Amino acid sequence: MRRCNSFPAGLLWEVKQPTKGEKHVEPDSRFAEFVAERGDALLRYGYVLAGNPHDAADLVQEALVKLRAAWPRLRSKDNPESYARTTMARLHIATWRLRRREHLAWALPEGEHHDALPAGDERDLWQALAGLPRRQRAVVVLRYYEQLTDTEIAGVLGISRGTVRSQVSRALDKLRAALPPPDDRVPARHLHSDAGRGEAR
Amino acid sequence: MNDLESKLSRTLNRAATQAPHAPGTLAGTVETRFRRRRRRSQALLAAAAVVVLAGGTSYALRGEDIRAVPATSATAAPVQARLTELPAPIEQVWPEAVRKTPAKLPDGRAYQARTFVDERTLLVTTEQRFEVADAVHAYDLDSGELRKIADVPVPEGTVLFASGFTIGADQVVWWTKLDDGRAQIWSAPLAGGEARIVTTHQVDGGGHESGLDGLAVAGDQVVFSINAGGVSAVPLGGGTAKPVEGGAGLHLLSWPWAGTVGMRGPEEPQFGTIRNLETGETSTALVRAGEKEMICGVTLCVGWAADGTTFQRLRDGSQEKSSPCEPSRFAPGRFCTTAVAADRRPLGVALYDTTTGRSADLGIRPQESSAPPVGKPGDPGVTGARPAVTMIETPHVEGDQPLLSYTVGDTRYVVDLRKIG
Repeated sequence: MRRCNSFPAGLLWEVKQPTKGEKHVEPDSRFAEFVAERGDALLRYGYVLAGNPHDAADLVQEALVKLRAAWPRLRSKDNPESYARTTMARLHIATWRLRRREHLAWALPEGEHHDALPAGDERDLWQALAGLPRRQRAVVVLRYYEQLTDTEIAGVLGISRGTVRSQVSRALDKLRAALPPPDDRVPARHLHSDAGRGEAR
Repeated sequence: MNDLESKLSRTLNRAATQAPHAPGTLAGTVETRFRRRRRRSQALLAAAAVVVLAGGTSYALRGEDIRAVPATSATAAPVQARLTELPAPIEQVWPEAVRKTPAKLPDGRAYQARTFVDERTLLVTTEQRFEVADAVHAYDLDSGELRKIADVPVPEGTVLFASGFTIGADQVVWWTKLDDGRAQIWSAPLAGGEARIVTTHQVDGGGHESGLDGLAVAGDQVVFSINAGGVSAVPLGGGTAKPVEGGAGLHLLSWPWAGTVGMRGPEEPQFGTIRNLETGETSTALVRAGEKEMICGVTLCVGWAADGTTFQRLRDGSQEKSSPCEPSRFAPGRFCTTAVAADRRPLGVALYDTTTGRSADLGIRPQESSAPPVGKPGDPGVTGARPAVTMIETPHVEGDQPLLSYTVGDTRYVVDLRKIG
């Protein structure tokens, strides 16, 4: 798999408060390096999560602001990228809308992002993904883009493994129903399959 | 993995290649935003009772009778109003409203413009370090003279620095927050003197996530609301803050108006329902099905219509039109700032008058665009031409505040919005 998800569950909500008397945090060049190196990857992740470049950009910015706040308190074993990705997934679900609230305009291309998707199946599927509720979409992205196990997804989203499975199942049902050709319809029980997924990596 | 699952994996990875590139300025942007937020915490979410009616939506404050809003259909044609050409410079469009001064004080220090003291005088703060005010002054725009009003104390353990500067009853008032979750409200005589604590008020359990989201002087009282919701008042002379009747869970919009800020969800507007805390009068803004991210001021609302265009209209639903103003976290007043863009590139920033439809170029230009795409080994989708992103930072106009102030190079623009006819 591409990345190692080594953050402790609940890290987001358990970072310790600033110590007494801590005042100003100087900019950290390692943070800037992290953003420069991983910004594009986070945008790609944000794009598949949100489905459009505007919300993707907002998700990334908001997650990075939170990461920046936590940066001095991250322990060496914490993985900042996991932290950012977890934040993005949670933000995406939390009926979260931050469009331009800081008044930063991103001059983003309009209408281009569908063009390079090949016509046919993938395009239909991408469009069908837009019809999923946020949590279902997040679960799908975490499973099929991030390649996380159900246990890991449960940790990222702070939900039970059973909920992860039921959300995936419902999402797949919806996607299948939304796709035009019924040729590849498979029995519903296959949709719950965890075959090939190690629960503890 | 079955066929659909494989296809999903392929589709998501392919789609990811269409994401925009991160601008080279992203780290700096995040840093600025992080610091700004430490100082001035973002309004957090407060739930309100929501009732959805067939074909239209109405919102009510908790515990209050639901007021139905008739469903009507928009009459405006769905055309997105956009500024694609820079309008004339603001000093030509509204010369009476604009003053240009040096970006720095005569002694070379940087400063923040907070509000107007009077037509020719700004309330400004100087900083001991970035965004940490050390003193508040009156700055005479005519003479360039700087008169110190008071030192701004930074008590041990402060995590949110002096914010929300406002003037009333010949006092300057602001707030700070300690790391144990207590906010401190300060005042100093406008004529000059020492800052003193008006009240100390527990906001939360600690940290810099939340603080006050509204502060005003009303008569001999300081009124304020906290991010978690709830309007309180304290005598300007000092004392313990007490909840304002009818203000439980609400956020100050513009005294005496306070309202719910909503969940930022697709359906629930911010300040959709507001209450006059002096008279008890409430006002509920019209919301149409499918509208998103609507935010209202005392008179005007802006939001995204179901067709993806941005609209503006009065709270009662009248005078609706497509608008270049986009919903932001700031309650809309008569003016908004908006990026001007053509061919997907930002050109500058305009000030837009929602009343007359006139606009003016603020003189701000985009930051340098990001470097050409460079793939990172091991990342999916590094191939393919993806567009880079250019960013432009825009100053904001908050509600009906009269001051818009920003710098371009060595020049500070001070715009008095009250002088625009």
